[in-house]
Amino acid sequence: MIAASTLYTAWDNSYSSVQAAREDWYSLRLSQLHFDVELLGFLYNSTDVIITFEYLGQTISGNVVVLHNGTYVSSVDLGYLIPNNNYTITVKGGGADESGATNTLVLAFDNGCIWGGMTYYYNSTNSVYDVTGISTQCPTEVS
Amino acid sequence: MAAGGPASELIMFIVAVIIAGSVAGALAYVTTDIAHGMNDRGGATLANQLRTDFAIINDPNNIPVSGTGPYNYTFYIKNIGKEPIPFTANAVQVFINGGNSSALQPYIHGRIREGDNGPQPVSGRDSERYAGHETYIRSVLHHHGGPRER
Repeated sequence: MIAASTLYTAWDNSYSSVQAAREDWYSLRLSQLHFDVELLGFLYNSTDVIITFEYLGQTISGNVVVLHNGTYVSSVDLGYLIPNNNYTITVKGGGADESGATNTLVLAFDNGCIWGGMTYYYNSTNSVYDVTGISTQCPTEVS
Repeated sequence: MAAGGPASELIMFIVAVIIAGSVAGALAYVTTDIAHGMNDRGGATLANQLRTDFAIINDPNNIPVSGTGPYNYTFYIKNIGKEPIPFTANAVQVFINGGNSSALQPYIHGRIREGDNGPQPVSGRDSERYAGHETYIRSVLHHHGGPRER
């Protein structure tokens, strides 16, 4: 009886632990599956670019990594990203490029999905930044 | 014969107690060993593997590269799991176009904690830039006995 009880307790602990880990795994995969972000605003000043977006995926923690022209710039803690809420991120040093050269921005989220390929350049004719090429992509497992 | 009866019974009793104790001890040892094995294999290892994950978060069209040959590429790795990841030259390998081009220095950062604010840069070195060709990278993390790849 003692042996059976010991084995059952060990099995139950392992099972609970694996089930909890599996829940985490499912949660991560679902957040990647439903990941979606919509650009609402693109503002700039002499030094910075200010991006406003609506988060349309599942709730995830909100550490967002900013890559400007491919290089890590900063991380922003937005708390939790709630579906249908709007968030604003200021990209230091992203503005003031009026040379007409192409700039790219990528935002990487806590579930590993990236929102980017966001390309902008200064259109001197209209004195505005043109923004194109926004896409999302999430990690895939290599097997 | 009358005096040998109780003595032999006593001896048999003692032997029986010793055998029963040995069997009980062996059973307890085996049971505990199996229980620890279940906890280690199922609870710890499998759960850790499920909770360990990472992502390459580079701008796909704009991988930082430096040098004039060999070229150093910088890949940003973000811990998206629930477990810290040992981040050493022994734990992470980077493959470019199938070749092992891992060169972690000078980017050895110890461990990536869950929810770390910034990504960890890993450099990969290659002797050629594949202008006009797609370059494939693969990052392998050796963690808790099971490699994980991106």
